[in-house]
Formats: sequence, C-alpha cells, structure tokens
Amino acid sequence: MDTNQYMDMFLDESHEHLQSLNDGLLSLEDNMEDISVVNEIFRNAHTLKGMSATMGYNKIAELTHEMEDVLDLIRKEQLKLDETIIDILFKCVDSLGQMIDNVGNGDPEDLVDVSDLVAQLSKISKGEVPEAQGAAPAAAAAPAAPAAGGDAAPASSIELSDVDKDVIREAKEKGLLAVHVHIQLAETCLLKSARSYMVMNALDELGDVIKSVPPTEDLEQEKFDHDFDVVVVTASDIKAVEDAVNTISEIEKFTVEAIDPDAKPAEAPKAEAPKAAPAPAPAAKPAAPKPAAKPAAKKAAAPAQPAKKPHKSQSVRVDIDKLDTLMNLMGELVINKVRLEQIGQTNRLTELTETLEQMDRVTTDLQNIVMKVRMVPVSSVFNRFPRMVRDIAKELNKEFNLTIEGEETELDRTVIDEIGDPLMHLLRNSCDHGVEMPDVREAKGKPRVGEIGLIARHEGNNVVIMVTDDGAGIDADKIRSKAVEKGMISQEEADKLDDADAVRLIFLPGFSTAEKITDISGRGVGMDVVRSKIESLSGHVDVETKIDEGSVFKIKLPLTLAIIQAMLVQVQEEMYAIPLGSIDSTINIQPTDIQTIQNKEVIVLRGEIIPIIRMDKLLQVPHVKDAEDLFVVVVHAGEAKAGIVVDNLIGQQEIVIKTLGSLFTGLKMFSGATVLGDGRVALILDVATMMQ
Amino acid sequence: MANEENKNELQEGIQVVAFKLLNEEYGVSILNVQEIRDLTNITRVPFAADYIKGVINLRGSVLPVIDLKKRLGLADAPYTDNTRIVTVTVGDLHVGMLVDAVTEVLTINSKPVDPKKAINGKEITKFLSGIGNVDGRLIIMLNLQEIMDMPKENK
Repeated sequence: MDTNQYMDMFLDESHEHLQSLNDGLLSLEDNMEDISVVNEIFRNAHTLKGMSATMGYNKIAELTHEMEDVLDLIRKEQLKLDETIIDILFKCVDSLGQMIDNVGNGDPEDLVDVSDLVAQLSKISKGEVPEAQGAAPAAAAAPAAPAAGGDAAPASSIELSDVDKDVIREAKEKGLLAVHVHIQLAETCLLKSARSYMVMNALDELGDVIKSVPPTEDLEQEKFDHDFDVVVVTASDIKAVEDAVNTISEIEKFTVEAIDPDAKPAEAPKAEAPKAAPAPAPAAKPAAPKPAAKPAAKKAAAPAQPAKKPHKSQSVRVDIDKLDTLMNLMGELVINKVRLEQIGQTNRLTELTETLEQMDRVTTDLQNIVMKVRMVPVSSVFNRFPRMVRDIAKELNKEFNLTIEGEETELDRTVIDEIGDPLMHLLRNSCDHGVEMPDVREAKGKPRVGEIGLIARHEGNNVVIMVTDDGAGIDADKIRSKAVEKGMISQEEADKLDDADAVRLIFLPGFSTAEKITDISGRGVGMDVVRSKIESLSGHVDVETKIDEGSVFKIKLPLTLAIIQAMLVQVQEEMYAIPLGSIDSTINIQPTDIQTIQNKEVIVLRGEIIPIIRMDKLLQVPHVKDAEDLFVVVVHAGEAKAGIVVDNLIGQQEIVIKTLGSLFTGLKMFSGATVLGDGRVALILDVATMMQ
Repeated sequence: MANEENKNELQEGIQVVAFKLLNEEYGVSILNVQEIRDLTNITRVPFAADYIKGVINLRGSVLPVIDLKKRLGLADAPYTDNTRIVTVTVGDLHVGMLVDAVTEVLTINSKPVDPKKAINGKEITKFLSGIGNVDGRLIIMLNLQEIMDMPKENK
C-alpha cells in the first residue's frame, strides 16, 4: 500500500494527538484521580498507534502500544498513577514527537532510541501489577485483559438497542436465528477494512446484518483496533456462520453465538452475559473463552467514545495556498469595487451608487468571511506552553503557575505561524530571569509559586498578547550600565534616558543581561530577535516593569496582514496611506502652531508635546505648490507619538496591501503599496520606521 | 532559464524587441518581454535606488519601473508621446523599463559582437550582452540580470 499520499494527514493528525496527550498528561499531573482524562489520553495513544501501524512506523506503534498498556491499567485502577509514571509518559510523548518529526523530514523513525522507554513502560505494566504478570509475552500486548475479564467471560458484550432487540425478537418468532459474531483480526493484518468487508459480505450472504460495533462506516475507514462485533439474523445455523467466517484469512480468533434479546447484555455484561448465551457452542475455536475476555475489556471504554464525538465541530482541512488565492481574489474585488464607487461619484450616477451600496454590503460580508476563514485561535500556539513551562520548572527547580487567558482570540494564520517563537522566548525569559527561586521569593514575602501569565485579547483592530510575571522585574540601572559597558550608548545618553526607555534598551541587538547563559534563555540572541520578528509582522512589542513586582511584555499585532483600513494623505502631488491602526487623531493647524525645542519642531496637543515630522522634507517630495492648510496626523508606535504634517487628508479607505518586491528590499520606510480606486499606486507608510 | 535566454542573445537568428534610448537603438530578447505599455502614472518611491523610477499598477499588482537611461548613464530626456514601458521578466522578477520609443521586433541573423570588443572597455559594458548588426543598424543588446542588479547566484 502506498502510504505517501497520507503522509500530510498522518503528520497533522499525529501532532493533534500528541498535543492532546500533552494536555491530558498536564491535567493528570494536577489531578491524578481523574480517570476520564486517562480514558481520553488512552484513546489518543490508541489512535496514534493505529495510524502509525497503518503507515508502517512500527517503532512509533510499539511505543504507543506500551503507553496504551500502562494507561489501560491505570484507567482500570489496577495501577496507581504517580509522578514517575507521568514523567515517563511525558518522555514518551517527546520521543514520539521526535519520531514523527523525523518521519516528516523523511528520516527514518528509529533515529530516536526508545527501547529504554519501552522497557520502562513494560516494567511498569508488569512489575507493579502482579495479576498481569502471569500473562505470556504475547499477552503482554494486552496485559490487563485477563484480569479485567476474570470474573466472567462475557463473549456477548455487544450493546443492543431496543430496536435491535425488537428485530431479533421478530426474527425469533419467524424461526430465524440471531447470532453474535465476534471477530478478532490478526495483529499483522494490514488491510483491516478489506478483511472486515469480507466478513460482512460473507455474513450478508447468510442473512441480514442488523448491527455492527463499530458501525460499518468505521469499519470501512479502519476506525477500529483489531476486533469488531456483528449481529446477524440468519435462517441457517451457527455452524454455517462459523464455516463462512472460517474461509476468510487473517482472522486470529472468532466466536459465534446465539443471542437472547431479552437478556440485558449491554448494561451489565459481566453478570448477565452467561445467561445471554444459553445456546450451546459458546465458541467455535478452542481458544475462545480467553480472547473473548479481551473484547469485553475493550468494550467497557467503547460507549464513551461515540458520546464524545458530537463535541467536535465539523471542519475541513484546506490547503493554505487556496486560502491565499481566495484572499488575493478578494483583494482584487475590493480594488475594483472602490474604483466603481469612484466612477459613480464622479459621474453622479445615483443608480450605480445605490447598486454599489448593496454590493458593498456583500463584499464587506464576503471579506469578513474570507478573513475569518484564515483566522486561527491563538490556542493553537498557546497550548504548547503549559508543557514547556512545566519542563522549565523541573529544570530550574522553580515553581510556576501559568495562567492562560483569551486563548480563543483569533489571529490570521500567517501571523499565528510566526508568533510561536517570540512568545516562547518571552515566556522562557520570564521563567528564567523574571521569576526568582522559591526561597528568594519567600524571603521577599512573595508566594513560592511564581505567577506567569499569557493573555491574549482584542484591542480595536489589533490583538494584544501579554506575557506577565510577578518576578524580580528589570532593573533600569543595570540595563543602563550594561548598555554603556557594551558600548551601545554613551554614559550621557544613558543618564538622559528615563527608566521606561532604559528598559527598552533590551530590545537592541546584541543585548543580553543574563549573568550566566542558561539553556532556557540567553545566548546573546535575545529580545532584539523578538522585536524584529514582531515588527516584521507589523506589530510592536513593549515592556513595563517594576522592581520586585514583575514585568509585562506586551505584543500588539494587527488582526490581518492583507487588507487594512488606512488614511490616505496628500503631500504636494503624492499620495500616501497611513494604517489607521497607528493613527491617534488628525488635526488642522496653523503654521504658527508649530514651535521649536532646540530647533526640533513640536506641537502642543491637549497639553502633550508631540514632535512633528514634515513628510515633504522627510520623503523629499518635489515641491509644486505652497499648501494653504497644514494637517497633522498624530500617530503612535508603541508608547511614542509623533505628528506627521501633510497637505491634505483624502479620507479613510480599506486598502489591499501589496508587497513592493525584491527590488526594494531594505526600504523599511514603506510596508508596501496599494492600488487606489483611480488605478494609481500609493505607498503605505511604516509609522514605526518613520519615527526612528 | 533566464540564463539560457540571456545566452540566446549572443547567438544568431534571435528575435529581439528593439527600442530607442535617445538616438541609440537597444534590444532585449523577445523571450524576456511580457508586454509594451503606454506611459501611466508612476508613483515615486522615496529612498529607492536612483535608477528606479517608481511603481505602477499593472492590472492590480504593483510593478517597479526602472529608468533605463539613468541606469545606463545616458542623458535624461523628457517624456514624449512615444515613451513606453517595456515590461520584462528576468527570473522571478517582473520589471518595467522606461524607453523613449519602441521601434520594432527584428531578427538578428549575424552573430552579435562582444561589447568589450566593440567599444573601449568601460564599466558600462557589464550591462551589455552583445552588439547586433542588422544591415548596418546597430542594436545594443542588454544584459538584464546586471541591469536588475540581481545577485549572481539567483541567475
């Protein structure tokens, strides 16, 4: 079977399962009694095993199999969960991650040595549970089985609904026989769906298949382990059914037995099951009673599975390229719409304008939907952090309490993909440099456990992500002296900086205050990388800190990168677009309103002194005419503000951002260009760069 | 691929789009040429290289336009009705080139002369890939990679 075409799907889904495993283990660590979580991660491990076995990754399957065994014992409460086990399970998840990554990179999966983990796991599953020890090596594959089914061997563990029972009763009245067939496929069986299909086909020929567990669709999609149950109503006898099944190869074991609809096998299989099989021939093959025990054990978990499904939202995986194309088309549509609007206005065509208003509503909705389609909740990034923080805590012997808020906040997919590393860096910093050692904290009168916060929320057209800690804070004086020592600024410059600005020095390239380099953070590449990454996403990062109270790193990101609201301004005969997100206000001033401080022009706006930037001078715009009025667009980047002097304000418009292309690399003043309604191109100002 | 196209320019029997810069006639391989457009509004891009005239809207996308005369160190001349933008593709790069007039598409049958032999070696020859001779008409073939200043490894 060529499995390559399923590779992407395999990788995607494995990562999802690994994530759930991680999440599950973390919550188990907090509450070791929660069996429902054990069930959940058991299913994850189980699915992962099935998937990797199908893809032919036997090492992954082997490891997950061992994990499954241990988890199985735990959920049956035959094994007490403790920290050692959780640690080993965590290690397993890491190794699985590595193996899956290797597979994804086209490397062999066995670059990672898991024999140790496998050995540890099987020790746990055998050593600590005496009753499982008697099992032969082969039975170690399902060590819990004999123990679980010890009190009875309920072969007929199939759950029958009232409808099923009615059908069986009816059949009985007609003199037909209802049989329960339990099939266990060979472990080595590759095409499970094909085998199950053959079984179903054979049974169909004998009579009517009225029920199967799992349902036929799942059988076809191989959504089952190795065993399944079928109920058939047939005119022939048990022997005929046995013969029919016997002709199919790759079946390890099977049982066939008659069903009495009036027994209640499902609700209390252990007690009632023997009665449910009053007919003779409880087994077709000698080994029947024992294998029958295994399905019974498995079945115990099965009813929970379908109940869980409705919670999952329906979704489709779409290639990101297709979404990008959709986005581009949307952009073209918006440009053309704006152009039509302009034609309507210039020629005063009321009919056209009215129609366009209708169209505007549709395109706006369409645009919102297209945007939303590309949006991914930040949880997809956040959810890997609890695990990371836990590991750091163990490594540093510190204690953290990570609080995550607003993980449902959505961001554009392209932003999400990029934001993970900077956030990881900030979190590591907070854990490593921010939060103090527990003893130190106690001495300061703080709780031993350090609070780390990861908070996302909407703020206008932006999403703000904050990384907070209640640690030592950043010492502005230390930063100053470090910066001077490194020759980044002079002593005088350092003295002039207020504390907030001094702390911001950490964002400069080559700045790292960590006294000692640790594994967790600090290798000379530090906050400057975070900053440049965030800024490349048109975002800003800032920090607020108080000694001994902690620090807050605040990242502000645009919701989307493709279509934004902007203010169009005119400078002489040139047009520029300023993203609305960076605009505070616009005002009309007289030339006399401009004052100077040491020859630098400023204006005073509501008591605030704002430096002004004359766009015509900065951009060397050819002078054509003298402006009658002066307009100031007050913009901000981070905490800093500036007033940009322009000749005219054209208005607010949604613009589609186009890149300027490789000929303009290094040109940081503009974040891109946009095509205006009249077909001209306007450059989009990068306010943060402009203010530097 | 772009490299092959460029090699073609030194071979015989290739088709070139010929255009005028001042009084001289230049040419680029027809394989590089996308289209020829009338002059439209060019948006100046401050701080860009001086030979980059700006950007234009090419059916909704933004296309850089270079001032070929400035790039080749020729004197400036005002726009006329004949001024055209020749859009070319070099590798992944789409660029418009401002020319004084597009004359015709012609076939160069004779083997083009190495520019270093044709004129006294100057820095400028790096922008040229050969001199074609069509019945005494000299067509100066351009080396587009150099003109776009593309790094060598991207060729």
